[in-house]
Amino acid sequence: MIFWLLAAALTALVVAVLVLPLLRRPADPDAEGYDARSAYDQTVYRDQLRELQEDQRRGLLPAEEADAAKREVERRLLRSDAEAQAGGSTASSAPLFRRLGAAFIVLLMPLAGVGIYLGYGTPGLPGLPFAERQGGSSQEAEMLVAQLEARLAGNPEDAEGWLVLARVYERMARYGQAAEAYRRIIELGRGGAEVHASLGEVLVAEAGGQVGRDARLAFARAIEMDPANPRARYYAGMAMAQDDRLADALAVWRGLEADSPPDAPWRPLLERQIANAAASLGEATPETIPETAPGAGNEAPRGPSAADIEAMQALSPEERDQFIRSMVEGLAARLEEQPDNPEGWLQLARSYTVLGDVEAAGRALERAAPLVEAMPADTPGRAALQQRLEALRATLP
Amino acid sequence: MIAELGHFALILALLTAVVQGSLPMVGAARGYMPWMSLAAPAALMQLVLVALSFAALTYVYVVSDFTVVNVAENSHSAKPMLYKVTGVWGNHEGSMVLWILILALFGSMVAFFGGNLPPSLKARVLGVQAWIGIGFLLFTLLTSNPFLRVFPAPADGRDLNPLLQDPGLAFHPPLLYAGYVGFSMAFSFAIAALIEGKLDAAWARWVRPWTLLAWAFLTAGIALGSWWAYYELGWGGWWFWDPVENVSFMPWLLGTALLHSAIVVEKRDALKIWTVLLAILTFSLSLMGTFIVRSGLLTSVHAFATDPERGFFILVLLLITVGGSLLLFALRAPVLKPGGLFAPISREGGMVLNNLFLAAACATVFLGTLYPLFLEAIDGSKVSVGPPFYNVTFVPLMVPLLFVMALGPLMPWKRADLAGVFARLKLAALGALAGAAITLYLREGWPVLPAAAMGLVAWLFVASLVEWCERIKLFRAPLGDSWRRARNLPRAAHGMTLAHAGMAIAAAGMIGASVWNLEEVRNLRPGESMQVAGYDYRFDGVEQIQGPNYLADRAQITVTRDGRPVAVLTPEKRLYPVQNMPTTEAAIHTTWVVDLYAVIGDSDGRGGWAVRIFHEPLVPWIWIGCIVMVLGSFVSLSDRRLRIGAPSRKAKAVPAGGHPAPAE
Repeated sequence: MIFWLLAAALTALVVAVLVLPLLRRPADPDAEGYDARSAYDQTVYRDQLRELQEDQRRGLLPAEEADAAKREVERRLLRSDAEAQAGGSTASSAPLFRRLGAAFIVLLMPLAGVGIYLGYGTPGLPGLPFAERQGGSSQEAEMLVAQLEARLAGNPEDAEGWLVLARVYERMARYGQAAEAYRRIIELGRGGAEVHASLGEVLVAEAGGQVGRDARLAFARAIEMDPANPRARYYAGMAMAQDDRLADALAVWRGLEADSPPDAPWRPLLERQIANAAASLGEATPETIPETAPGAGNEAPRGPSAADIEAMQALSPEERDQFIRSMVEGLAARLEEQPDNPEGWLQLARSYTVLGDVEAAGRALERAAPLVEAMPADTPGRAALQQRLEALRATLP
Repeated sequence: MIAELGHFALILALLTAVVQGSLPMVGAARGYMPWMSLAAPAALMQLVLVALSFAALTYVYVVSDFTVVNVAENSHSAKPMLYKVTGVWGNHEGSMVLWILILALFGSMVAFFGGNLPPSLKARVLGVQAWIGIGFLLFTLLTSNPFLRVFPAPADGRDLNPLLQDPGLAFHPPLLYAGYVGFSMAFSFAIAALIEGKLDAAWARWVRPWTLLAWAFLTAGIALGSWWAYYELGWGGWWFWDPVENVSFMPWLLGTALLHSAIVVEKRDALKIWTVLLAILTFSLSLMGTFIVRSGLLTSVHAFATDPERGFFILVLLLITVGGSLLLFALRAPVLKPGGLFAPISREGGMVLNNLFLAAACATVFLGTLYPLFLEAIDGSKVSVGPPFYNVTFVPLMVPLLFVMALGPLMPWKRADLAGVFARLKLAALGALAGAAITLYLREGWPVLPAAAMGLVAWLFVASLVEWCERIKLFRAPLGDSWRRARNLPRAAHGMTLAHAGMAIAAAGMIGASVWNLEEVRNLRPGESMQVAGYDYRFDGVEQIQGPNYLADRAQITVTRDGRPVAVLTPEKRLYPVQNMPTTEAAIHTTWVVDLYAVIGDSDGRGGWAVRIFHEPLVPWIWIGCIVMVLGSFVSLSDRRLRIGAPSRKAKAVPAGGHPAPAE
């Protein structure tokens, strides 16, 4: 509010300064005669003559040089006089032009000023000096939220305001409210790709890192509107990773990396994801490594991907439990299809132990033991597997 | 809120410029006095608004308000206060606002001091000035807006390029811009004269102070930039013929030509069309100088902004300004009445020669700077045009220029007697011989070219003084008489002597620096020393120190000569962690004849450090010469003759034709 008052005062000042000369009625119309041009010229020439005389008097200029110069200046004076006689007065100060000019200024300043400003400015955003941010950060945000909420209650159509509010909520980790605010912007028809992507992002944050159905829809919308949107592409990759489509995720992320400017703020995070995903894939690909037991040349069990781990860290304990259980079940299912994998069975047994499912752990060990024993004694990994088998047996009652 | 107010003020400034550029122009064309009288208050208001905006930007930098994108990108909360303030113009957006501020300052000066200008000319000059303002304000608001906000604000800023964290940055850009923008005045006067179709001696008188002021600022700005490169980059050089340097040098060359040709217009009412063209070209080169480093065409420390959108805007703006003004010139120049003819051997003849050499020199620099860009644009090949090119093109043009420069001031207007002039320069010839002889004596070998060059410079220096001494009859009349004459001499005459002598001093410095500069690099352990040009440099060791926002290795080097202590140099190698960028801080000890210049390099990890010593003879003279030149232009500017009064009622009352010319 204060801002608008000050802005109005400033505009009024500008209008006043510019309009006053137009409103002032000249006391004597002749006093500002337009043809006085020659008078100005002649002032200069008289000045030049005076200088020449001075220089000559002081002996700085030889007489003949001074005379020649003087003659020239005098010629200029004469010419200027002739011009003054020839050119009639064209000066005019008709009231019509005064009013026209004044109206132009009075209309232009406030209308165009506010118009342009609204296009580029961010009127609602208060300043935030660094010194005031130290320590008082959350308090300052609370105040800002209260202010913005009050303003938006009065003017719910203000998409800009909602955007600022959404960002504040986001920063305060109030993801549900942030999502609401983003949805309002979309309802107002002002939601571009970035707003949709931001909505998806807060939904992911709210779901503790899981890219859920609504979030996926939001990212899909964002990509539809702007296929290059980095935020949406990043999370699309994340969704694929969570679906175990790590190779696809990697392709999406690599594409994003190639399109990102070198100083993009999301680069470090993206690069970490790519490195993790590539490392996970790297573990999974060497299925042809000859060291694995002959006859057991199946795919080595896949550990959780980096994205999975990251997603897990954001989960609540129960959710985490659930997540691990689902992963373990996936492993068990794979082993049922390709049972000739002693290492896989051992890992499964260990996972069940962690989950506290002693019975299932025992069953997995049963499957692993004969396979390990069947390995030729000189197989490189046999001793280690044997040891792990014994150790796991020891933990079971 | 402060940032938003600054933003709003900048938008109002644009609208004020629109008013200032439209109504007074129409008013001048149609003779509507009230519309013309709008120009001055609009120009003053423009200054108020832009100053407000600039103050707001400075404020957000000072308090580190990172909700402003520009601050977040170019500042840091831990930066020393001086660099928070100078950081305002240490980036593209902020420097544009500074540019506009200086433009508004010049405009308001015309409004304020321009009482002696005919109303129509004043309205038109301010109108053209407003057009330039509109272009720059649009550019700033649309493509380089410093007031854009971001929320949530980043935790801290990205800091200012450490190379720019230097006191030199406080003065170099403002001065350089004052020079560039100052030439906009000459440009506006030229365009106004073309529109008006009237250009005469009086016009030249009115333009003179603005050109002089711009020239002084540009000289100071270039010198400061060169000095900054000299001590901050740690390369021991002071001029690299770098494109960015060249683009500031070109307007200087043409501006110098303009300064002289305007005098011819003022005194002889001749050379008018050429002067108008020079005014247009000088400002066009200034614009190019501002923009070429912004458009991303050149990569250097100055290239803050490389953005195709900006580049396109710049190109359009340049095309409109340069193309439009040249078109106007082509259409209107024939309207201007040609002035009187003149003899080749005369003061004005000398000025023409000066203009020819300066324009040719500018053309060579122009070619050398832009040719590589064109070539790269056409077939992608990269060439670099460096000192060898300029040594064979630019330097040969300067030699006759310096030679003739000594003659010019001694020649009277209209017709001169060349033999007589040379006769009066016997002393200067003696000086030249002495200069050459001293050079030959001091330097081993048989340095013919350097000796000849020093002789030429001595010739110019002595000739400048001879002219001055003659005018005050020093040694020919009693001292008291000479003193009285010196006091009576117009300040402009003193100014010219100073400027020409300053040029001679600076030229001597340039010659000395390029011919006798020595460089030596050694790997030294603490306690070891090296000898360069008779000075012993003992490396005492390196200590780690912590600055406000950097870490540094500071070396201590004790300099002695024949066992007598001369100086202790402490060059530093700094690391600015925020931008992870190292800089070198050279240590310089000057004896006013020679600079002892030390830079510390990397450690070899076994206790030794790379120590680089430059022996820079006569380099201080470059700066001294530039200071003298700037001093000269300010002395000249203080000449009361430049302060012409406005026509008074009384003057108007004098019947036409009956001008008071008392035949004393």
